[in-house]
Amino acid sequence: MGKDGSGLAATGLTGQEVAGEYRRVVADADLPHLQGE
Amino acid sequence: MNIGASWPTLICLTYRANNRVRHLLTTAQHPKLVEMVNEVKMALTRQPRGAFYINEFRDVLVPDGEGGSYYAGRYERHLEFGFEDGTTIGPVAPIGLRPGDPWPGPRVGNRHMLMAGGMDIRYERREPRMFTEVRLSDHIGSDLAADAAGRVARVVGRSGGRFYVNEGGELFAPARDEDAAATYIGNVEDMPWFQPPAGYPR
Repeated sequence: MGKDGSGLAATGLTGQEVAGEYRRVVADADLPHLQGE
Repeated sequence: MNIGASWPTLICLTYRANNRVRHLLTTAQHPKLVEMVNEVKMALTRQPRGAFYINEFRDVLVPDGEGGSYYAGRYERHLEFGFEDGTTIGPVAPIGLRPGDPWPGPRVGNRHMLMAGGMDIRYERREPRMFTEVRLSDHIGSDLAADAAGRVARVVGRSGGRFYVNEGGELFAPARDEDAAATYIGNVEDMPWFQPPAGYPR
């Protein structure tokens, strides 16, 4: 897998989420910032 | 892989209990999924962390920020999040939930559209520089597509509209206004549905 994304499998699969609610990968250190969103 | 203090290891959901209350829920119970997402994020942007999607076929998709998405692998486990009172929410409908009931789970899913007239379902396939409308009737024929669309129409209405499908195969319609809950439609296992996209390991 290239650093530029080459070798990744680009998909055409739908990926639109419900506005306002979604999931993401975060670190512990991100949480104080997210609390203030 | 770097497992330093700032390396992302959690999955976070911002859950809207209602128009005025949002819960920031996290889980550390899915390290394999975190690794899958981070690997693609690193390849795309050289930074870990960020949003991801899981479709009803359990394909994990990482958006590239420009309308496209990248396949990160398959993930079979359900993502559940716990509240401080001990209750949990997840992508599977509670036993006894019926079409038309309020959907109690996360309002996270992949967008589909009941077409006007309530006879077919479509979604938009996005590729670099191209958008393709994919219709259920193209996959399984008009009669079966109308069967599935009819079940959605009982909740959404014959005039059509958006609805969402999550990784548990559960369908729900968005709230008509900010104070209302989403509405449960049913599960793809109980109706004719799209075939899994070809070209990915299953």
